[in-house]
Amino acid sequence: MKNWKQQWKQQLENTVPALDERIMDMPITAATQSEYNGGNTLARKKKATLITALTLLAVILLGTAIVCGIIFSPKPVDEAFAFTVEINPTITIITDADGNVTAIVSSNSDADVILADSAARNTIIGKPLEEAISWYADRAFMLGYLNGENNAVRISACEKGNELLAAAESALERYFIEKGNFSIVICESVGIDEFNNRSGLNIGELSKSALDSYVSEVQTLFNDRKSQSATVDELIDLYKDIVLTADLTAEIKDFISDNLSLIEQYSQELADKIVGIIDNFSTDILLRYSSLLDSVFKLIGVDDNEIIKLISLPDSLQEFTDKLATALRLEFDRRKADFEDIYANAVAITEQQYADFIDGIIAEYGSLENYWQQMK
Amino acid sequence: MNVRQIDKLLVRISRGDNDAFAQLYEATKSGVYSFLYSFLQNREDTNDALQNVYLKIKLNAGKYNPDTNGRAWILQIAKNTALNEIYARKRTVNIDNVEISAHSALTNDVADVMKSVLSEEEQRIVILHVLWGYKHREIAEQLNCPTGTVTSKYKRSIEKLKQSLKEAEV
Repeated sequence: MKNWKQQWKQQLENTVPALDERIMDMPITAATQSEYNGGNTLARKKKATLITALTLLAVILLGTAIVCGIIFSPKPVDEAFAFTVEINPTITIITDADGNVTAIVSSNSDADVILADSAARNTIIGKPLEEAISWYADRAFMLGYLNGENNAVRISACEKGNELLAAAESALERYFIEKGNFSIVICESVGIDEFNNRSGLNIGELSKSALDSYVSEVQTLFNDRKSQSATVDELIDLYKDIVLTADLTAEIKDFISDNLSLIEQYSQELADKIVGIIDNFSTDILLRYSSLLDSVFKLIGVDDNEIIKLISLPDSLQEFTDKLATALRLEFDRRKADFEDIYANAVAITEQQYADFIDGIIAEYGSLENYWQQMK
Repeated sequence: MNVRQIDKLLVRISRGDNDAFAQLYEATKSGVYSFLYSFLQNREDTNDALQNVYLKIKLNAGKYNPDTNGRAWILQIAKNTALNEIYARKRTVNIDNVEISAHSALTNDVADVMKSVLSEEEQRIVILHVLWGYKHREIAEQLNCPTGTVTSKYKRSIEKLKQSLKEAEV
């Protein structure tokens, strides 16, 4: 095969157009002395020599001081980093200057499911970023968020932190290889505006003090943040949207069906009415008959079931928060059970298999970024 | 052309030497073109941007600080020009807007192959190293990432490129 570099350069010679004649012929206004910093070459050279000598002296002194252990280089105390990790559940991780996690917040409803367990999420506070991201990916995998097709994780650093990003990328790829999970990893550094767009947050300044202040004021969970300034009507809409999901509604329907025989013992007529409700079951129907169902379950002695408590709408922010916490825990348990087999039986793949998978994606889509754009 | 030669030409240009400008164009046009193409991803916009870059070089040569890095100075102008073009047209470079070369998988045009098999960042790494003579460490400083990352991305990019070009020759 012809040397590709020579081939490329030759092709460019044939491709690159000539410069417009008007630009080529345009006279250049010679720089004035004030514009042209190279005017006094000799003086600059002397100055350069002096600067070089002083710099060399400073380096020698600094080196000596370091050897003597007099000076250490503390990292800037007000430095922090921010990273958003998008799978479909999206979280944002704040680290200190050393790259250890100081805060973690969820950026969408699915991430609330993963982060709802405060004891679990607190285990990664203080840990290195790469460990936190692997932990998060593991929970996502456990709950079925990385089991379908088109699996991809995008980690975005806010303006800086590329070394941490590179380490996180390697750690995550190693995790996927160990778990036999064919998911791609994309890492990017983006500006604050784009970062806020991806994270759903409103970070104004990338310093430790500013970020500490910001995370201390925002709720960790996405829907807790969303509900903070909601009216009661908005809370109800939010509740219907987030808590009374199709999965939960189905679970409630199953629960009612399972206890129908108990209801029949009290009243066949009541049981028939409830069968009518189940046959036309929907969230609106559920809410319309929530009082009836609540009374019925009290009657048959099963009213302390957690699922049943979720049927009635909250009438305060506190009640919304409490019910949301219950719903998230139930969702976590449900998903964990649903995907238990897949997670438990994951078998490691080889590095070559993973590399071939990545190459295949790139061959098909042109780049991992194109793949992300199309799939997400 | 190395950094010092570019520097000398820029100094001459700042003094009004149009011949030096013509020489600079011939020496750097491929590198500037490829660099712009990695952002703009189509020939038409790249051709326009190329003209703008050299116009800006001519207009601003007086602001160039001699004995600094002429190569980086030119590339910064090119990058700004490309980004301005992208922002001005409110166009994000995605698969829908990218010029699709027919049968690009079978072309032996290196630029087309690069576009089809490499990411934008990978394209830039290859362009900076092969056409501009940047060392991996220097590229890492430009891209604000570890040197090791640049080295491995470059290696992987070349492997992909060679494989695709080999397939095109068969």
